[in-house]
Amino acid sequence: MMEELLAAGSTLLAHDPRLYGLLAVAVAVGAGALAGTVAAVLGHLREG
Amino acid sequence: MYLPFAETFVNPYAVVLIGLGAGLLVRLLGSPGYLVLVPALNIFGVPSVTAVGTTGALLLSASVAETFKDPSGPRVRRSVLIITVAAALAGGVAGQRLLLALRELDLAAPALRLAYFAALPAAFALLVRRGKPDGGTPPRHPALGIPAALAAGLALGGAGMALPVPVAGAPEPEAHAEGAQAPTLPLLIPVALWATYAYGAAGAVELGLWGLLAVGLVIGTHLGGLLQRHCAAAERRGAFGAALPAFAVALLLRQLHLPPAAGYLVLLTILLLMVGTGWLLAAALLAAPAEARKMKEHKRIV
Repeated sequence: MMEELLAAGSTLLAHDPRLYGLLAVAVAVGAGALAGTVAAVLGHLREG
Repeated sequence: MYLPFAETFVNPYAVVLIGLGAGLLVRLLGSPGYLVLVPALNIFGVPSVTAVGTTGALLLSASVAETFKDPSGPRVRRSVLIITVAAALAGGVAGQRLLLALRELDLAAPALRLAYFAALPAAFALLVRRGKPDGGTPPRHPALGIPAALAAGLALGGAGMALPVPVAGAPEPEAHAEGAQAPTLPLLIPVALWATYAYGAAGAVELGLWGLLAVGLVIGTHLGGLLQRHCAAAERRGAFGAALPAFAVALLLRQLHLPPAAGYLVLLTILLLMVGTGWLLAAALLAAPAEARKMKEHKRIV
């Protein structure tokens, strides 16, 4: 199942390289938002 | 670790170590710490355009994280902000196009190394100058805002450098402020978004490499945070900022076709950073009970 998904994803990305650009943006923004939220919550907990 | 787009192998431990060293420097020196990422990756065999694209994605994550940590953002007029961001974005697009054009001419790597060879010692000199009583921050004129934003965009889009964006009307950072350049990072979000998308579409963002760097960066930032409480800002800038010229020398060695020597110099610099961190933390921990005893004695006398 996972392999099929990966193969389908690779085919899609090979079809249009702009999708990989969008994927990179989504991953970077998502990770940044998660890291920032965790840091903000930890900061509040430390202050409290 | 195999990089599928760049079609090359890199040592994953070295990548985590690079991220760790960069995270430590970012926490202790502010945004100049990010300047070591592209040279170090390039020295360890990552093609220059891939190093810039992946660093751009990492800067995007860092900018977004900074915004989530402090949602108030830069306190400036909206019109000034729009003009500054537009100028930075124009610079970013031009920089990305320029680097891809240089890649076609096989000149991307030497041009990037030259840019970083100049930028790293300059950043160190500015850090040392900020620590001096007459140093302070450079004078800011409203007319310089747009060219400075254009240059910052050009540096981020074309070289993966996070330069501070001086915004007219923004409050002046204090000369001895902690990481005074960090609040300008969210201003570069549109440029970092564009750079990540454009380099990603050009096959120059390696998400595996980005993930390892991010892990190292998070660990390094936490270590730097521990040290920040126990070490004065001026000492940090002098001692840890010296890593920046060391990376410039490593780049020179790489340009002179001595990649092993350059790689060892980068690893030695990161090792020295880690040893320095451990030493200062141990000294602070050992000094803490003595300080507490002194305070107790002082209170008893008073």
